[in-house]
Amino acid sequence: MSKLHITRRTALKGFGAAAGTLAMPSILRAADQVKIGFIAPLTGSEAILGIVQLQCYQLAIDHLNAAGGIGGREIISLTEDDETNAKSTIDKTRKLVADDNVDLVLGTLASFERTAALSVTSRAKKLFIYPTYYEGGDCSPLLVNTGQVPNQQIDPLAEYLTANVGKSVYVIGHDYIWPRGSTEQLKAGLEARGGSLAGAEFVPFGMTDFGPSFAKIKAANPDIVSFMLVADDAITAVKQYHSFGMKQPLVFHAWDEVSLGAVTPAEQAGILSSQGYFQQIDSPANNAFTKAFAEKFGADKPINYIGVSVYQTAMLYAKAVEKAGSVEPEKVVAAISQVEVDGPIGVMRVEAGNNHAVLPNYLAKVNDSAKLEILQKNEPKPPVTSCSL
Amino acid sequence: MPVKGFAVYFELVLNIATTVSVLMLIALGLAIVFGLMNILNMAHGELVTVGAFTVSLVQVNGGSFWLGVVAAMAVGAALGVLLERGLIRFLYDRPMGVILVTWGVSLIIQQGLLLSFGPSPQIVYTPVEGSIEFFDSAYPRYRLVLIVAAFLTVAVTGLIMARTRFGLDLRTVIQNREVAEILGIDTRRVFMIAFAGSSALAALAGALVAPMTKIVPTMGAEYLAPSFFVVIVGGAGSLAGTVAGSTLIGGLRTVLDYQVPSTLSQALVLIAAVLVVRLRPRGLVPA
Repeated sequence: MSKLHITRRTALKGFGAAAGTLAMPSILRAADQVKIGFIAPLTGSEAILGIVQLQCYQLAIDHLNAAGGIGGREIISLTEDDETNAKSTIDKTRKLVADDNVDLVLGTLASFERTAALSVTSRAKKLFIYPTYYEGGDCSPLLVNTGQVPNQQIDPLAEYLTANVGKSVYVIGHDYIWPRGSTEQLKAGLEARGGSLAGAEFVPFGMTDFGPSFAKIKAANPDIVSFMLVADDAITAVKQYHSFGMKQPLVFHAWDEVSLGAVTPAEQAGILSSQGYFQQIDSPANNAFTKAFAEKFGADKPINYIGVSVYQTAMLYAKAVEKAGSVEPEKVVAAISQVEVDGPIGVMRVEAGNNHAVLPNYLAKVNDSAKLEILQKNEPKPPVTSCSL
Repeated sequence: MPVKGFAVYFELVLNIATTVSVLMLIALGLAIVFGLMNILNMAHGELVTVGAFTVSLVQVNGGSFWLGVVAAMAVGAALGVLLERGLIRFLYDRPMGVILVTWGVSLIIQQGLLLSFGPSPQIVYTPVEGSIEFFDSAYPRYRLVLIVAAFLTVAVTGLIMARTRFGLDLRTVIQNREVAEILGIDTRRVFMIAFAGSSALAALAGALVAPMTKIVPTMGAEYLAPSFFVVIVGGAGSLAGTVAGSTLIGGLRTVLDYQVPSTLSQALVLIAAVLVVRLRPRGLVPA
C-alpha cells in the first residue's frame, strides 16, 4: 500500500522534473546550481559534535553565498541528520543521492557512518567528501578524505610521548574500527621509537563502570594511559579515571573544545590531545574565522577541529568546482588535487594518488581551568594511507 | 607480593560492591512497581535521568550535592504522583496500556530534557573528592559513599515494607485488593504512595550515580534493561530478590570483566541470566 503511494509520488516528481527540464535549456540549468547534501549526527550520542559540524557548514555556505556562490553557480544546500547510526546514515544518504540528486555528499563523523554513506555514494557514482580524522585505509575513486590520518595525528603523538612522557602505553577504546585501527598505528609509532603497547582493551558502547578496566591497567603498570572512546562513555571514563586517582598521565587524542564543557575542570586537567586544529591557534585566517563564528553563533560556543574541517573542506570543494568548471564528480576529483585553500587549519590540499589531505598537527594539554593549551606544532605532512587509487 | 595480591582482591570486592550498589539502587524502585504492583514502568530509566539532572541544576544554582539529592527525591516523588494520578491509575487493568503510556512518557521526558538543556552533558561535582590509599592502591572515596548509601537505602526500604503500617497496607493490597478494600484500606492512596516512593527511589539512584557517570538525557535508558533483568533474575516481588539479583548480575559481570573482554562478559552474563530463569523460573528468591 505504502509502496504504491511512494511509487506514484516518485513518478509524479519525475514528471515534474521532466517538465522543468523541458521548460528551460538544460545547459543553463546545469550551469546554474550546485547541490550540496550535508549529513551529520545531529541527534543521538554524537550530536554535540555533529552540531558544531553543522554550524561550521552553515558558516561556509554563508561565506560562499556572500561571494556569489561557487563559480557563479547558486548553492542549493540540503541538510540531513544521520542520528548517529549506520541505518539512518544509509537511508539519508540514499535520499540525498536518489531523491535530491545532489552533486556532493559532505559530512559524517564516526567511521561507521562514513562506511555506511560510502556504500551508497560509491554505487551511485556520487562524490563523497569525509572531513573528519579517522583510522585511514579508505580509498575509493569518488571519495575524498580531508581529515587527518594516523601518520599525521597519532605518529606525532607517539613521538611526543616517547620523548617526553614515557615508553609504554595502555589503550582503552570502544570496540569498533576507529579505536582498533588507531591502536595499531599507535603501537607501530611507539615501537619505531623504542616504546611499546602495554595492553589494549576494547569495550562495548554503554559502559557504566570502568573500575575493572582500571584494575587491569594497574596490573599492567604502563607509563601512560590512552583513551580511544567516543560519545557519552568517554565522559564516564574521564570522570572515573580522575576519581580513581590514577597515576599515569592520560592521553585522549579526541578530547577537544566541545569536550571541555562536559566534565569539571579538575576531572580533565592534564589530558593530552592531538589534533589538526585547536581554537587557540593564532593566525589571521583562524582569528577571522573564530570572529565570524562568534558573531553568528555566540562567543561561548566551542569550535573544534571536527567542525572547522567541515568549513575548510567546503571551501576546498568550491575551489575544485571552479577549477573544473563543472560539478561532475570525476572532473571535481581530478581538479581537487590541483587547488589549495588557506583557512583556519592552515593550507589544505589533497594528494592525487589517494585523495587524502596534507595536514599539520598540534599537541595540546588541558590546563587547570579547562582550556586546551598548545604544546607543540608539527608542520604539514603528506598522508600515509594503506590504500591507493 | 602477597600484600599486593591482597590489594587486588580488596579492589575487586569494592568494584563488585559498586556495581551491585548501582544495580540495587536502580532496581529497587522497579522491584516495587513491577515486582509488587505489576506495573511495567518503561519510564523508570527517565526518572533516574531526572534525578541526575536535578542534582546538576541544584549545584549550578549554588546548592550542595546533598541538597541536590534531597531535591532529586522530591522531584522524583512529585513526578511519580503526577504520573500515577494523571495516567497510570486509569490503566491498572490494562498492562499493555501501561507499557505504551509509560514508554511515551519516557520519550517525552528524554526529548523534553534535550530541548531544555541541549545535547551537551551536564556537570555534577562530587561531594567527596579524591581517593583512599590502601596497600599501594587507590580507591575513589565517593564509591565508598555510594556503597554505604545504597545499602542504607535498601535497609530503610525493607524496614518500611516490613515494619510500618503503610508497608503492611501495601502488602495486603498486593495480595488481595478486594479484601484490602473490605478491610477499610484506601487502596488508591496506597498505590499512589507506592508509585511516588518508587519514583523517588529512581531519582535518588540517578542523583547518587551522577558524580561517576555521564549526565545526558538518554542516560537512564541504559539502566532500564539491566534493572528489569535484576528484578526478574532475583525474583519479582521481593526485596531480598532484588539484592540477590543485583549481587549475582553485578558480581558476575565484574569478575568476568577482570578475566575476559567486556564485550564477551556482557554476553556471558546474559547467558547466565537465561540459565537462572530456566532453572528457577520464579527467580532466585521468589516472593
